[in-house]
Amino acid sequence: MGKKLSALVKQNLTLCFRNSLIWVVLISMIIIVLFVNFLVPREYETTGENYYLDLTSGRSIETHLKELGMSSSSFMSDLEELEGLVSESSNAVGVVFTGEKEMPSVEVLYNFHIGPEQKNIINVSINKLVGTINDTWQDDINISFLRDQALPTPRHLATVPVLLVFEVLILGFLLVAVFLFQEKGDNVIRAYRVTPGGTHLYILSKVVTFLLLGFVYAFGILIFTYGVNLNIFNFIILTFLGFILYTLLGLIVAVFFEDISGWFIVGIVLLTLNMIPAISHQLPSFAPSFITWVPSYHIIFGYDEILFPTGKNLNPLFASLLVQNIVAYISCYLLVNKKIIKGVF
Amino acid sequence: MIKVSNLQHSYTNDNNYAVKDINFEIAEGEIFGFLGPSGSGKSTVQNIMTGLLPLQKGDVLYNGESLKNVSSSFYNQIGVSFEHPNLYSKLTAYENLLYFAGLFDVPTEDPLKLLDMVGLRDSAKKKTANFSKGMKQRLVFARALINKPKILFLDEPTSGLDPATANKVKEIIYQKKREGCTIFLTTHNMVAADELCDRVAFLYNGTIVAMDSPRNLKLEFGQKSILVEYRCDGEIKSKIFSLSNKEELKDFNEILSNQDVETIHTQEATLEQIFIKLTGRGLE
Repeated sequence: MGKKLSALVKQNLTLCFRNSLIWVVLISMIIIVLFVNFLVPREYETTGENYYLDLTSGRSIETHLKELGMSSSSFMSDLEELEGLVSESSNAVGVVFTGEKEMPSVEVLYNFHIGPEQKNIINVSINKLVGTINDTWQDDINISFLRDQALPTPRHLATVPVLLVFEVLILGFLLVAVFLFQEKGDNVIRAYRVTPGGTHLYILSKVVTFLLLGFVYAFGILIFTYGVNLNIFNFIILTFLGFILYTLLGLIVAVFFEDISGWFIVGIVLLTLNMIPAISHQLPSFAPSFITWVPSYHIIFGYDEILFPTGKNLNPLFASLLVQNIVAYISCYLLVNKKIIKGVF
Repeated sequence: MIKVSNLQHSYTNDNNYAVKDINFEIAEGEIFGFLGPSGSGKSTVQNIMTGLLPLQKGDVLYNGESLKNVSSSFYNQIGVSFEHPNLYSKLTAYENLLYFAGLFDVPTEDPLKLLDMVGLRDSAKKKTANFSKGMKQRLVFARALINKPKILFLDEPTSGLDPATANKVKEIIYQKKREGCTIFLTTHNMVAADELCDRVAFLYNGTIVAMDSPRNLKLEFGQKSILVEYRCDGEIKSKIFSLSNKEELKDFNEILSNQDVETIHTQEATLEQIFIKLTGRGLE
């Protein structure tokens, strides 16, 4: 088995390097690395600009806020100037203080829709600001963390888990289809059928070949974006299980088609559905139950945990993926045996 | 060695049989030709015998063991050359043989030696996508030999080859026979079959209509006579002499001695003529 598998893997690798798709993948990897390192900012403001006008006596609030480190450019000299800035900007908020420093009246100017939650946040923020200036603010909420607090995630690296799932893992899904259709086009499966090869060897040769390529792709992206300061063992296990799963799923889908044009629409629709969990990754509160059935959902959060650890246990995820792989392999074996090894004629 | 009995196959799984009630045996070291026009069922029988098509009715025995019971190691013993070349177009000729060799559990031939045998040594490093049909055909033939098979299934092995290359392939087939290889040859090329085969079976509309050695078939269906063309008084004349009639043989000797004989042909039938006689149609 080992000798045969080695022969087929060598054959598949040779074919890979003679297929233009592999060069597309290499260029994609370079673009991804450049994108993460140079195009996505490390930090970016998620709130708009705030401008202040202090009309209290002696402009004491302005003085205090400057002492707290607020930039002079945030303070306007008159109401007309503040209204002009707010009306020109789509996300600027103007705050006008009048009365006494100890208990100022506050007027908020804005030029866009603000919901009740945002109003509450602004209200609390101003109360805290005034309380801090007057030394009357008290935090009366105690927060205790059950796990060690995770460090803030740099914005540009937050894209890496998404890219690992939707660029690297789906490579197996795509390549296995391309190879199957190439073999059907060359009609070589008939020749394979009159060898002692068999169905297991056929599937394993594809899985091993694309797994090797997948690891090169995954480590290429990881090393040139995030680096290697992570739990490598967990990274390898998750990539191993995830990549095999997607390769098997790719073969399960591809056996139903004769060529790439027939596969194209179904393949693209499936890949698009597979990307829906990316929304949940960006907006974790978006997690309808059907999304959790998409294999990429748990894998993307698995990569998130490996790259930005919060102390979660990944063993249940690995066990779940192992079970999914076993089910996928059995289904794949039955389908490939029926439709390719016994069916291609 | 090989026994095929009561073989039937329907592609539509009904009573519309592509081949029906096929029976024959092939001895070890024999070259057995399966002859018939396109669509007669030749490839169907070969595909059943190699396991590419399921065995629906009847049986195929290899050394007494049914094809139904053979394991995957059976494929270590056979080599199959397909009519339509099926090669990895992005691999070179050498790589096509090298990787294929890796699939067998038995000692294999050196790919370069095989390429040399079929006249493709100089093209070993060329991708097969750039090969002509004849080159592909030779490479597929070479691939069938990679595992030193004991049984060879050859489907139109000389199809699309120039006469010199076809002769080279025929010589290799003879060589394999001398080494004890049993060969099942499927073709509609009656000349090649006549030259190569120890026995042939004519297949027509899915059934065997005749089966014997080419010599016996020719004797059975041909005439035991000689056609002589000779020049007499400036004119070319021809005459047929029966070999079983002593008086005619005397006349034949007379002409040989006294006339200017230009050609002499025996009047045995060709395999193609016999096939037409039996089925009423040609082989193309």
